[in-house]
Amino acid sequence: MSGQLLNSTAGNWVVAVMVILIIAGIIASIFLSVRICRMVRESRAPAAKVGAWDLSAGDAGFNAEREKRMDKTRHIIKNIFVYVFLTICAVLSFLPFYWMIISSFKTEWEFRQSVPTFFPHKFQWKNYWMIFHQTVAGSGSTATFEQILINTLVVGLLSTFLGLVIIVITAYAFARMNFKGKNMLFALMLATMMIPGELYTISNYITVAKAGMTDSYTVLILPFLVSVYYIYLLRNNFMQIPNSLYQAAKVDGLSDLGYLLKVMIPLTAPTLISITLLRFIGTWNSYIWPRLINTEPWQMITNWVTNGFADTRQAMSPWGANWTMYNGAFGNQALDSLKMAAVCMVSLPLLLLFIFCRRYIMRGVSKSGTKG
Amino acid sequence: MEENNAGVATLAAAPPKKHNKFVQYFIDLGNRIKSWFVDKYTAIKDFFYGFTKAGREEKKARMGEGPQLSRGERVRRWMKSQSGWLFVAPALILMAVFTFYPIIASFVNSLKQNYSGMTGKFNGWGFDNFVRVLKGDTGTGGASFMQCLVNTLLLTFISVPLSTLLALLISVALNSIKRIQKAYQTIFFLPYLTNALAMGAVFATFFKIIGTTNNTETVGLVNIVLGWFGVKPIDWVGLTSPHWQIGSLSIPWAKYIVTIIYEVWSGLPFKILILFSAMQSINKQYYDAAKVDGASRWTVLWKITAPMIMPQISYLLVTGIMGGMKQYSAIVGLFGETMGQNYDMGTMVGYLYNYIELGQTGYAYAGSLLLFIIIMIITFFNNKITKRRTTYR
Repeated sequence: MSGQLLNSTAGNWVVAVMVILIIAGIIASIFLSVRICRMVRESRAPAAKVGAWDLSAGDAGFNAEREKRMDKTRHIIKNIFVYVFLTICAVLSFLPFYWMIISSFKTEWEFRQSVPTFFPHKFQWKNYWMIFHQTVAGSGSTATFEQILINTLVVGLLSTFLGLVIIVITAYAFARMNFKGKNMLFALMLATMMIPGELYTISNYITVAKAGMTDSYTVLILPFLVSVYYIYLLRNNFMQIPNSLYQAAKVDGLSDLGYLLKVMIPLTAPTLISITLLRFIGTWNSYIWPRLINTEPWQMITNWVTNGFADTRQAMSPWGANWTMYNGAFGNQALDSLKMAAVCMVSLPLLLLFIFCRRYIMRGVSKSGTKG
Repeated sequence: MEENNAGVATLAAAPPKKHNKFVQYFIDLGNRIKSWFVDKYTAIKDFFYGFTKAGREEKKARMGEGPQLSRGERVRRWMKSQSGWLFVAPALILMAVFTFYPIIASFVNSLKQNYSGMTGKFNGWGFDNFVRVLKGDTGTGGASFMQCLVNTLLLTFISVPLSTLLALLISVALNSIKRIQKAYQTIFFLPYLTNALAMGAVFATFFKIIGTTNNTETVGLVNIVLGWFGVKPIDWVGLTSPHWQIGSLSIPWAKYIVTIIYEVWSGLPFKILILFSAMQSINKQYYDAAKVDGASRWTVLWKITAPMIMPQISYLLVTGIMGGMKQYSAIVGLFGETMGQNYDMGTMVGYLYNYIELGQTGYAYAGSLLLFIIIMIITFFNNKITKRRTTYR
């Protein structure tokens, strides 16, 4: 069976590598267990031996050579085992990304082969054209990819920027200013962090729907502007700035606002960058609220990706309104190869962002344990 | 002299009666309650003393010590000292509408029978919503609460320990190598930021039966691999997915396995990150000392590494369980918006959204409060456990 799989296409070295790695892992573990058994047996029959000391042979019993050799073998075996284990885990954890990317370039015929290929025969870039120029299948709406992308970017940028302003001024007030009831208010805000956010959604849905704000950007932005956790994070950052800096700034004739803009914000820039990135990622991944409150033309990119993408004749492709890739062979079925292309569109920006801004993202997340 | 001493001794030897622990607890409790009332009484007395003539004069005398200010100036100064409210006002207003009001509203509205959010109509008050939600007697064909609860608890308490254990193994392995450590690190951290719905769709293609071409079933990667061992293709995510039936509960084990694999995969990077950086920050002196003492590798792992990273492990378990209780989008990514067949893969959060969409707001409120209570219980136990465990530092 595996032979058939290996011979099926030229690009199947990937399978070969995986199979070899797994076999190597099995061999290494057998080897290791035999080794461990032997070591255990040796340690159980100590009579005249303690480790490398042969007591019966007196002082000459220490076999340094043998000990060194054993140590080296043990080290090599351990390393083989560790590397094989890590490689298997790494391959498995990368496999979904690899599969997603290659599947997005396959034709649907190739995707449905009874023996899957691990590298596309022919790169079909038209998959991407198809999803860009297609209205969502079956819904009859006019939400194209451009519309959805504009929605996501506008909402993402606005909510990130406005949210950041609110977070900064609130954190500043809690960190630097004194007013009556400050501590009580802060405790109250922190207490809401214990309540699951899902509890709010129902009432917010009713509030917003009654106010007639559905199908707008406002409704996507407003309810999530305040984030207590980020206020808390930034306040702690602000409080770490020594008070002497404030007095020095006062002596130099800087106003409170000037101090905030020229001293505090530059000093806490790393935290602010993490907050910005995490908020944007949060908007990019938001799914439930837009689905609940808005119709398709006002939804976000994650809603778009859950749609079925078909090889429809209504596709507004650059090659004409009636253009299809498979001559209508799949009718109105949702095609997985197209879906994978959409998945790539949503996932790749996140991957790139993580690769390039890993430090900032991790700084923000490692304390909260939530993503976005 | 002797006699006198003895007298003192007898006086001192008349201690308060020793009570047993149980009685003592209530005596202490009584004392605490009493002192609380005394404190409050004093505070109230002081407060009203300010309004009496004597009190006012005393205050005036105290004010007289500083510079005398006009009334306008005093008001202006007070206003300036309270300007912090201006800064927190935007956040406060938004929170009042979108956070504080919903909390109160959910407690109130969950008690309204047959409540419809849009019209605001309801028939009387009572715990009817809760009873119906727990019984699964909602009469709207939506998800069943017990099914959702069992799914959520089972999935969380299987996948979180599993992924923590795997993360522990990987980070121990990662910590013990020197060459190409960075490359492995990068690959392991890659799935860190993922869109649950997008990656759920990818996992679904691994497991699903893709379609029929030329009258032969084509199956996903997992079924092909299982086929090498002679296992017949299983419909992991589709309509004919196998399940066990226990009373009215169904346990779709095939879908459970898919979900658990997805959750382990998506939870790994964060866990590896935390555990690995904790291991890197352990002082190397401990290991050197262990080496001198001739400790084996296994002993080092269990006696040094494990206790040192115990706080991180318990933190990961806590956040993992909290996140697991609120899982929803992964399920939608894997099984679609109906959460499997007849909501058999529904989760607690999925339950809420299901009933919001059905227009049965009362049940949604009751469900959300039950979720809140369950999360509170788990938090309580977590706190108890973590307090005990984190004393290693």
